[in-house]
Amino acid sequence: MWPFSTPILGLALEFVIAALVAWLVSPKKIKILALSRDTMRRLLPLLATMVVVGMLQQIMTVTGVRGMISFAVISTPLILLFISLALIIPVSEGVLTYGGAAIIGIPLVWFLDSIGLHATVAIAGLSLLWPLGDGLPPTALIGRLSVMVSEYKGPYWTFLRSTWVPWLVITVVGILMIIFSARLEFLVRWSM
Amino acid sequence: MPLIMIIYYVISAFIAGMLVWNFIREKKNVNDMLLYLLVLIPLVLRILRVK
Repeated sequence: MWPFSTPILGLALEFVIAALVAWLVSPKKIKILALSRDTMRRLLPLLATMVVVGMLQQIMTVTGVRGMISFAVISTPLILLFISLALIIPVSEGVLTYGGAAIIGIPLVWFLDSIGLHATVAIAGLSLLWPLGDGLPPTALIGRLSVMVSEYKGPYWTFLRSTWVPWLVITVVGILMIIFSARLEFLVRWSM
Repeated sequence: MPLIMIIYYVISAFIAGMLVWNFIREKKNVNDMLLYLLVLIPLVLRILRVK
């Protein structure tokens, strides 16, 4: 019973509630219908990308390709897997957006847990690597949004190239967190 | 039907309505019209409860 348990609202409904609250408390009058239509128009390429990626995931699931990819990831030799994480994690996010975590993440975490690594710290490390893919084509979900919001006019690859230093640091830290997750267990001991 | 599910149907109908409105007002760009139709597909399926 509330407040000890609350229903699961889902991300979309949480966003809608936040938008309604912002609308109600806004000192400026907002024409909600015009704003919604304009937002739809501006974000149309992103919306279409999300829909297409969702369809791709459904097709991958019903044809068994999703399972095949999951199996390929966990059957890769361990050293090769750690090295290739720098590539496969961001690329999976770039191609599948948030579906990358569902397709590769779940079997990967089970596998890492089964070989004695600490699941929570490993997930934290993976959570550092996955957002990098939000800047990668073909979807480049957050990258494109950043370019739109900042009104950057240059080519997308120039924008992406300029991020190489933080990209490298995040990749190294993320992979080290996964490899040494068992030794870093003390970081999350408080939550056990 | 739980209340949250009903709210999700209302949200889907609202977004679908906005997309149809934009689709009707879009007169020139055929690519955008196609994208509007594409984005409409999952929303219409959801509203019609087609799995």
